[in-house]
Amino acid sequence: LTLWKNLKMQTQNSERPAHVPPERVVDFDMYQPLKAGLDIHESWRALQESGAPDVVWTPRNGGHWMVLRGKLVTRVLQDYRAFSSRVVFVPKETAGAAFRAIPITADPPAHKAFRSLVTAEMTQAKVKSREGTIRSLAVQLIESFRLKGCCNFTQDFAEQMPLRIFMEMVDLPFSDAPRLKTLVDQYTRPKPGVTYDQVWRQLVEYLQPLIDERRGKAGTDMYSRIINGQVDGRELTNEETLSMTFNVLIAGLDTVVNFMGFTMLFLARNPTARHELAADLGRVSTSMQELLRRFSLVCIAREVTCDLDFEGVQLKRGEMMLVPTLLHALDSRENPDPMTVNFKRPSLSHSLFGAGIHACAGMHLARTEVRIMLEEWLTRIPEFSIDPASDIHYIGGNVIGVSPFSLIWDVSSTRKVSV
Amino acid sequence: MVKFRFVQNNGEALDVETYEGQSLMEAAVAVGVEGIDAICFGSAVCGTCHVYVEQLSAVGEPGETEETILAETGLRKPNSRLACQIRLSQACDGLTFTVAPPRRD
Repeated sequence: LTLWKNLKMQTQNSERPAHVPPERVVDFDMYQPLKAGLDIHESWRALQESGAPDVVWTPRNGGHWMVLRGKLVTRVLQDYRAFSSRVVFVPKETAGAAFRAIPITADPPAHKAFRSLVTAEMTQAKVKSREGTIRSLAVQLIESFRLKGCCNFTQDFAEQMPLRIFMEMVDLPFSDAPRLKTLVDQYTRPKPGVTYDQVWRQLVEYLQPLIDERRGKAGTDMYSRIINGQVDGRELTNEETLSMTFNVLIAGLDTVVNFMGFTMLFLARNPTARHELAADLGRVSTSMQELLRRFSLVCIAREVTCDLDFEGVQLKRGEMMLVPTLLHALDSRENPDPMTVNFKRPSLSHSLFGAGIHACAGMHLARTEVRIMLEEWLTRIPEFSIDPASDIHYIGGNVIGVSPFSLIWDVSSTRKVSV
Repeated sequence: MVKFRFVQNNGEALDVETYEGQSLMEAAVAVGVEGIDAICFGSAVCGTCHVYVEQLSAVGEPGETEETILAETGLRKPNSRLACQIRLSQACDGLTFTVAPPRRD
């Protein structure tokens, strides 16, 4: 998923179409959701709690529908017949048209064969076989700054770990990581004056030689498997191969980085929750679910495929429906007292990884990365806080985020632990 | 919270105590149950979260769509369910779910 953070959207509001009842209209810009005095999750929840109906329409970003409740989030994501993934970003004509990646923007029946090439490499069993590598990488990163008493958490850890694991999985040298990171950043956070086409050409310059080199060889890395994969009994075209290698490259990077950011920001500010988690690391894969819920962060869109009666409104073919999956987690109908992190809540429900056929193919890997971060970090650096010099601000987008921040700690409170 | 047991493909038992409200599939994925790949993540179309329920009456019979998918797996037993279609509640407390072998197709 991409952020498109700095991509300036059309600022002109769209006219309300005649079939949209006035009481369904809210003025909400998904790229600029922040309300004064609230953090980004609180700002989204303020919309949900504003008394607005469960399905609303905003004139921003080309004009689009939005679902505001958990039940509707899963319903839209699971109904791929009525809600197509052909376009997944708003505005449809700009960000939406520019983003094409297989399998994210593929629909059934073609979608299944492409997705299988990815999921085959991301099964529980495959992720488990990498756990040792992931753990030693996490330890190596933590140990590189533990005795300094501080780090820029975002740059020194969160941006490093997923990218390096990815490089290992696709068998690319770590030395290429900075170049790849720059390329992905340029794509997901375009600089003014740089067009999508220019960035895409640079990505192709990197990916094409790699594809040519691995095609027809028996490599076992994820890229080789995709490049030499079959869909419905045929080889992939070069364009499909580029699209897929690009898709897996960008898919898990920002999401995991941003999730780690929200999580560690919260744990730095909340010693009680931190101690509770650290006291029972054996159960962290379960208690972590509460963090996955509370810091859900993706807003994806779907294109309506046919005129449709939906929850009391008329949707027209071709209109866009925004699905803020984070609102599922923050919906008090699904999770009582949703803003509180409560590891002991009896029940929870969220859509952090989406739902349905496009659910995050990398979810097992993402969970493993976050779990190992928590296990290794809380064991080695159990006490930490936000560097007061860090200016915390939030970033709206398809994957919401928090700006880079630094953590500080007393070195004498840290522990050296052998793996 | 609800407690139950998975028996994984490798024969190992895994005891889980987790949050109600989510599906059994989500709970399995969260703790990394071997053999639950959950490829369609809740759409009941892929049959990769197939379990055999020790006491089927506690969770109920499969629905119509689910029934079709279970039949397609070729691994259907009288106590088959898709984990994504079981909502966790106190009714699941103490149950054992045996993960079905991987689909052969």
